[in-house]
Amino acid sequence: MTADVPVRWYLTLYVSGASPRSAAALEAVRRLADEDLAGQVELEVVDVRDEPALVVRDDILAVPTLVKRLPPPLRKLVGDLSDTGRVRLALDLRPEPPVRTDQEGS
Amino acid sequence: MLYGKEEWLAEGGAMTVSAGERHPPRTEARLAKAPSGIRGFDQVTDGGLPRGRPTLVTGASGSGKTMFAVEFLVRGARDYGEPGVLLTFEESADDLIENVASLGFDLTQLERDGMLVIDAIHVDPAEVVATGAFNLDGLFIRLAGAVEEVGAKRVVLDTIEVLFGALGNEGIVRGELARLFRWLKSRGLTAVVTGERGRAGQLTRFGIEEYVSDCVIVLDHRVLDDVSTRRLQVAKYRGSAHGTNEYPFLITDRGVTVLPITAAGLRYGAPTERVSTGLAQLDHLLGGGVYRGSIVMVSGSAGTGKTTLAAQVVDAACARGEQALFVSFEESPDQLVRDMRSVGIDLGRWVDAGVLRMWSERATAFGLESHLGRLERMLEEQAPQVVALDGIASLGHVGSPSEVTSAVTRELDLVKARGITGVLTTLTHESDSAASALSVSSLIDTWLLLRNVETDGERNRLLFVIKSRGTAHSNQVREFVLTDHGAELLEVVVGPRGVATGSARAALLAEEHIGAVTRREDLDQRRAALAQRAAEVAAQIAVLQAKLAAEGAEVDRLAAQETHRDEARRSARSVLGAARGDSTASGDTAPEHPTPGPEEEV
Repeated sequence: MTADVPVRWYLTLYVSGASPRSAAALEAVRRLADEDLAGQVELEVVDVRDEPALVVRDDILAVPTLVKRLPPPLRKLVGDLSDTGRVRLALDLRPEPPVRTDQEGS
Repeated sequence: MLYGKEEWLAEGGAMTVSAGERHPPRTEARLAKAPSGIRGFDQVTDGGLPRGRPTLVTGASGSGKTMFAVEFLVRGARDYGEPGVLLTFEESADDLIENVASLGFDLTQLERDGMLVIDAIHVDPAEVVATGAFNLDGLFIRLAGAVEEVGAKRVVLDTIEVLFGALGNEGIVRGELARLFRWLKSRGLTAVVTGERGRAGQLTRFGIEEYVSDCVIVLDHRVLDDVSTRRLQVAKYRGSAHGTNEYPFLITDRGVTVLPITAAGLRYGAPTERVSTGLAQLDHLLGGGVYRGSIVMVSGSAGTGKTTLAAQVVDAACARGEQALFVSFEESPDQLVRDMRSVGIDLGRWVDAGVLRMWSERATAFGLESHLGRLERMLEEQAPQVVALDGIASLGHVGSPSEVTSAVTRELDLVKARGITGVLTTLTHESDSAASALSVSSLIDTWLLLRNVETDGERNRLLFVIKSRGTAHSNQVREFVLTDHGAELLEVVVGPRGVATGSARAALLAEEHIGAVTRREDLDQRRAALAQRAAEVAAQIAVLQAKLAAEGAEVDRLAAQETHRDEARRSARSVLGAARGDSTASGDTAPEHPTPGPEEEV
């Protein structure tokens, strides 16, 4: 493993149309992707109304849900991602204070 | 507690309890029911589950909730042409398919036929991180997709409460579930929602009964005296009559069977046809046999010939060409055939001819409920006209007396409801031989008691007809004799010391015979004596008559002498008169002094 693998995070965000919660979640993910995960994330946004097959594949019940496929373990972040602390924890990110993520985990 | 008022009101305000309960006609009109197809359940609920509404099925784990729910779908698809959707949160689709295959349900086939969609939703709480507000659109979309795929009329959510644990935020889940149930109702879907029994008597752990308030079914699985019994109770059924008892139910290889204790409601027909018991003398005692479809109980202590009597009835039925079922709780079929052959009843030939089915089982092996399930199944498969249940008292080893009584009651209900003539034998002890060990006598139409009498170093059997409904049955006792050509009833001999049986009977009969002979001889003697007496009397009469005749003759002789004397006197007088010159008249009228002289001389 090297520290500079271009893509470390594979994320899928399930949203439902233009609901406020979905919008909030999308906003939060975008921000993370731009800041903490810059350049290392592949983000897919899926509208559950359009892709029922994916909903089944990922066992999605709640919307919005952010699925973290990589790095392991698999995590489903349920909700509008407003609880930033838990979101960062779940994504294996350092806690809130803006610290550069130049070190990889193990 | 959240009562979800606004949810119900959103349904159009028609859900007020009082409106439903106070105006049954309106309720009737509204309360369409969807038959569950689960045997017995539709009887208990008078038609099934509320159509177009969710029903909560709750119980501890392992109480059979999933089985109930799956059967509801399978029967709907198979028997009522109503496709279904099964949303399971508990197990994988493969596991589920495998599990219910043991109930005889082929879910894969139903899926292939487009009658069923199984959607197994895997929720692993460990994977889930709650990060804020959400809704359950994912679930809605899956459900809606599945419902549309097959045009489902029925939906099962098994066990949706998992969501509370998995998604964290209970408030949101509650709100979303309320929305889900509204959605189900608005689609007119008949739904079964399973729930896990909560602590301290709560119906469900998370109180989802709040949302499913039309119909609540509680399942229970308890083990009492090492015997497990599953029970079902309709705890609530808004706007519908329903039995409130706890009904035992079974999970068999044909699915769930609820066994209403007396759901038949005593609505049996009452055939007037009599069927022979195979014993002409017994038929006679019973006024021509027993009614078809009635229940005959033969009770008695060990070795009184109960089984033989039951076999006789079965034998007679087979001989009439009827189907018969012989259930023994005491002997194996082979042993039974052998034993009955020894008294001249050949059951083996009926088995070979396919008219008799024999089944033996120790009731202890499985418990009462499964026993009932199997009995019902056999009654259904074979459709016998006569059933013998031999040794039901041994059911008493399985459960408490009340349970056994209820099991036997239901057993008899199963039999009676089908118009089958039933013979059951039960062991009683000599001391209380007039009481049924199982206190089911009120269900019995004809009760025969066999009793051993011990006299003169013998045990002999007596048969009493204790009761026989609808029959002017005999009050007499008969001696019940097992011969090598079956059982026989003999008229009893009543001697000075009561009823005589066996050799006492023979002795008494002999005594009577001797007595008769003696009396006959006595009579002859008396007759002879009488004849003699008559002869004597006749002789005496002859003697007397002879005396009479003799006396009569003497009187005649004296009379003749007197005549001669008169003539002599007259002639003497006329001679004297002539000599004196007197008239004869003066001589006649002047006898002033007696004249003994001449009289003496003559």
